[in-house]
Amino acid sequence: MLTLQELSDRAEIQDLLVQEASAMDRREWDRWQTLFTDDAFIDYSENDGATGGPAEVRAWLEGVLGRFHSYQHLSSNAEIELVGDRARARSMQYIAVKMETSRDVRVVFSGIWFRDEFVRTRAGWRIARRYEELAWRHNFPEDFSAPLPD
Amino acid sequence: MNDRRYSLEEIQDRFAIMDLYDRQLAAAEAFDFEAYDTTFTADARLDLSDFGLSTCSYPEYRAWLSGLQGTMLEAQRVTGGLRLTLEGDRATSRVPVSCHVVMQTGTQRTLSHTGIFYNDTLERRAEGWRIVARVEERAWSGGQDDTANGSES
Repeated sequence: MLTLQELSDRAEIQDLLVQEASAMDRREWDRWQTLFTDDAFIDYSENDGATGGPAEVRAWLEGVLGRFHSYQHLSSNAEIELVGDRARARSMQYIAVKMETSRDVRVVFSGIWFRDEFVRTRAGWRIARRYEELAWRHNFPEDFSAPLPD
Repeated sequence: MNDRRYSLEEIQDRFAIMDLYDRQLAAAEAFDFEAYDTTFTADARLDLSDFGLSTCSYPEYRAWLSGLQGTMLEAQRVTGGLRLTLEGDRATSRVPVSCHVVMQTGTQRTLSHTGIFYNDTLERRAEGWRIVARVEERAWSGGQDDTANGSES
């Protein structure tokens, strides 16, 4: 049976996953960055995205997402494994993006998985490592490529 | 490091509120208003101005939703995590929802897709947690197919 400490840790890690999605949707970039440790490593390369620390990846995200008409990230299916002051999780994001293409304005959908490592810090749990797996894309234009950082 | 963030009561509140959303969304799909009534207070206010509807009370919203029976053939509202803030007997919650709806107009069936955020305020009442105010914010819209037969290309 889970202890109260473990229940609280799980709730906090669930919050991190949801807040990461929510901070992107609300364009709260400072907030987004604080969900990661300063030395966190983020790898979006499998989905044509940036790789690096939270500050670099944040700059890339801000630039890319700023070009889309609107978007929404849903977080679900988190499988969390606690090991004391560290934790691992695999969770899903279901993403809808309304984008302008060379021919039209359309809504595209994609599904991704995050493989994350978390660490308990004095300020609470933080994401220390994140790898993004691309699961599927739907309705993307044939000539789609993620915009490169400026 | 022993720094438990949430008390047992907060964890109980969290589960109760997650249950409320699961109950509400299942009730909406089934047009089960007896269950739906256990999620809003009778005097709750809903702001649907992002969708071209006026701000209304829960009974008015309920009547509007009820009127869609027979037209809204299927609806699935997928949620992706609650951004929940608990403050004693009050809470706020922001819920991303991906809404997929099959509508019948005459002989025409359409499948539409819309992204919504529910921005809710909840209160603990004698009968449990209830939503007292909701602002529906449009996240995205425009995905629509004229054939709602499941063979979307």
